[in-house]
This record gives sequence, structure tokens and C-alpha cells, in this order.
Amino acid sequence: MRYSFIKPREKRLISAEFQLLFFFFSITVGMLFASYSYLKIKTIMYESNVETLLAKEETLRQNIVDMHGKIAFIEIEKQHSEGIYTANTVLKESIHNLFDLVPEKITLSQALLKEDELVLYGVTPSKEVYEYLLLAPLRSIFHRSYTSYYAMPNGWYSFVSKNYLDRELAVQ
Amino acid sequence: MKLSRLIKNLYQQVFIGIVVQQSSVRICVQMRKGSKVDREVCKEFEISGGKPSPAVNGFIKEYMDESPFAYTAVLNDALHQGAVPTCSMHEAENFSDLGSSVTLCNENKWMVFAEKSELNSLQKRFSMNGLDFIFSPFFILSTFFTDKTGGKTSLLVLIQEDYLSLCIFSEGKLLFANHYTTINAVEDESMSSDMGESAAESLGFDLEEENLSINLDDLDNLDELDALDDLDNLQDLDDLDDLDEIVDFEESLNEAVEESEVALEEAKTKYDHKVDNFSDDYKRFQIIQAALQHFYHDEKYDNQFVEEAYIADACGTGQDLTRFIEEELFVTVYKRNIELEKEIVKMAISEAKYAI
Repeated sequence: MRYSFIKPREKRLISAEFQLLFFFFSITVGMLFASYSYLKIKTIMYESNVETLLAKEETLRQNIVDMHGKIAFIEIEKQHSEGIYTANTVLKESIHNLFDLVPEKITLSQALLKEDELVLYGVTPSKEVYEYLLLAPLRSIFHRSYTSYYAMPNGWYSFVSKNYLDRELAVQ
Repeated sequence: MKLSRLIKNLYQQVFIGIVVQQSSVRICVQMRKGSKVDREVCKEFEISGGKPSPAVNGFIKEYMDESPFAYTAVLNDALHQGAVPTCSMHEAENFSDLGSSVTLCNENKWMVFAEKSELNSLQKRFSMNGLDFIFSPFFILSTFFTDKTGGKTSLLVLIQEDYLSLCIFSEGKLLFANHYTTINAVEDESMSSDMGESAAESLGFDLEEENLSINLDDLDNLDELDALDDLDNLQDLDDLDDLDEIVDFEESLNEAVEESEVALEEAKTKYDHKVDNFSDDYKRFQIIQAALQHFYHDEKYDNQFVEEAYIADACGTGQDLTRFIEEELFVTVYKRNIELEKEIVKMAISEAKYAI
């Protein structure tokens, strides 16, 4: 029950001066805390970025290693292809040379070109034409040459020429 | 428990009770922590015109600075204040004009009022430190005699040095209340001893019994003036030579008068305090008598007879007042001393529970 004609004044724990001081102090502390929080967040973000970058670096390093592997493989492939290309060129040249070797009087019906072996099927007007015009250059290229002749009704001869390269002799 | 109450209990609370009289102010300071009283200091200061002196303000401020929860309570010393036996403003108009008053209802039975301007004036007087509570003397009185208001028709009187508040309760209901100042009357009494004598005469008291008068018969010197016999008949004076005797007589008469004046002063000094008390008590009695007559004669109050009177004495009245009331008004009187400033502190403590 109220007994007083007036209401009591509001009681404050702290005076107005202290309130002002506390206000500014709070602002200062608040700013410090905000700065600290900003820096803390930035640090966390930076650390997170560093981690991401490190992971990325690791990935890239792994990629580089893979790349190096691939490059080595490609280089081997290149070397291999160059070998094939060289072999093909050599083969091409050989075939070209082979066809250059065949005189106009002799007609080839089939040629089988193997690694160390050349088998020729054809028709020649005579055995001498064959021996002088084709067998001589073949013997200069291959180590061994065997020729079989078959007489044709028109007087010509069909022949089968088997020529072999001996690997051991070629290396020497 | 509310947070504010918890904080309050952690802090020390200071309650300052102030009772203002015209020439003095009594202050009681109670420092509490929770429900425990830490310290209590009471002091009286001399002031003039009822305005607190710098010393008073300094004393109050000293203790207000002790805690943020310091409450200052003062007893309303306004002349225009009182109480009416209703809480309805419409019905209250039959008892007093409350147009410019602040009112406080008590248990929806009766209410106290005080002039707004006088409350403002009181707050202004204490504006240096400010006030939290202003209490009506009637609330103090009804709380102090709370066990006496529920019975038969009783007169409750609060006597302060300069003020007198009285109210009449019957079976818990307030019937009549009024507040008076005694300061002018008491000053007049002190200034004029004649009034005291007339008061004593009107009451039939024999002041001589109390040795309050000076008996000039006791002065032997006057009897020894034989020359007076010679002056019984001036016609017997034969010649002017007898004038020497007249001169001698005049001298001896002057001496006698001087001696009697000294004796009178001594007697005055000796009994001055007693006479003052007597006149104060008588004046208070006159106020109570007039109030009771008003109560008995006013039809509003149902012609109830006051059987008992309870006096809360805050200024140390003599036994005369009790005697006057008992013998003249035929009322049984019970007197109880009251330390008003402490009662105000008690009330402030109960009120502070509801404060923010």
C-alpha cells in the first residue's frame, strides 16, 4: 500500500558521469572487440585460403608428376613413332628401290615383303634377263637369294624369287 | 526474485527519516543490507523557519552518498492537511475542500490529504538532496496505534513540538481527523505569563502550591519600615523639617523594591521551564478540547463518545496534559513515547519495497 504523497525517485546504480564514462569505455571496448573479431575472421579466412592453396599446390604437384609421366610416355611413343616412321621410310625407300630395280622387260605379279625376306612372283621373257637385270641387284642387297622358274606356254618363264637377309650378318 | 530486488539486497540501502519543526530538525539514518541493520545514526539540528540549514543538507548528503539506494523520507509538516472518513472524492467534499489537494486512500476506508502547493514547498526546501517519500502524520499515527483503532471509539493524538495531529477511530473506521500547529500559540504563551496564570485560574489550579508565585509578605524589610507609621497622616506634618524623614523612607523603599525584583528574577529563572511546559501542555489541551467539542457538536459524527485517548508523544510533554484531558474531558489517557524519525524510517522501508 502506498503511504507516501510522492513517488520515490528512480535509483540508479551508477551516476550520470560514470554512465557517460562507461558509455565511451564500452564504445572503445566494442571497437577493440570489433577490430579483434575482424582480424580473427581475416586470419581464419587466410588460414583457410592457405589450406586451400596448399591442397591446390599438392594437386598441381601431383598433376605435374602425372604430366611428366605422360610426357615421358609420349616421348617414348614419339621415339617409337619416329622409329616406325623411319622404318616405314626405309621400307618405302626399299620398295621404291625394289621397283626401281625391276627392269621394264620383267613383270611382277606379286611381291611379299617381310622383315628379313622378300618374295617376288613375276614373268620374265628369259632366265638370262632375269639373272642379269634383277637377280644381280637382289644379290647385292640380300644375303641369300633362291629363284625357281616355271616355263610358260608362250616361252616365257614365271618365276618365284625368295631373298633373305641374315640378321647376324647385317649387324656385323 | 526480481533482478532489481536482488541487486538491492546486494547493495547497502540507506533510509533517512526527517522530522522538521520550526526551530529544529531531527534526522535518523538507518543503513541496511537486506533485512539486517548495519548502522543507525540519529541527530538533531537547530534551524530557523523550518528550512534545513547547510549543516542539515550536508549531513543528509553525506549518508545519501553512501549508497545508490538511498531513500529520504520526511513527515509532512503542511498546515493544510488532514484525513477524511471516505475514499470517495464526492463524499469527501462534505468534510473538506480537496480541490487543490493530493489524496491517498487507505484500504478503501479513509484517506489522507495534503495541499499540493505545500507539498511542493516542502520538496523545494529539500531540493538540494531531494525527497523520495512524504508521509502523512495520520498514517504514522494509525500505524503506531494499529492495535487500538479496531476497538471502541478512541482518540489518537500525535504531539510534536510545533504540531498536533489528532484523529478519532471507532471499530476500525476513521470518524474525525485534523492537524494543527501549536507554534504561534506556544510562543504567545511564553511571552506572556499572564496567559499562563489565567489558564491556571480557568482550570482551578493553585500555582502557589507549586511555589510558582512570589509572596511579598515574606519580605521583612517592608515590615521594618517604621517610618511608614509616621506618614499615616500627612496632616500631622508640622513643618518641612520632616522632609528628611521622607527622603530616608524613599531610600529604604527603593532598596526593598530592588531586593524584591532580584527575588522575582530568581524565581522566574527557577520555574521558567516548568511554566513553559505547563503552558504548552495547556495549549495542546485547549486544541484537543476544541477538536472534541467540534466532534461532539457536529452531526456528521453520530454523537459518539470518546472513551479512550492514546497519545503518541514525540516531544516529551509533561504529565499536565494527561491530567487535563482526564479531569476535563473524562477520557482515559494512555501515553506512549514515539521516535517519529524512526517510525518514518520504518515506513520508508516498507514503501521502498514497491519502489523501482
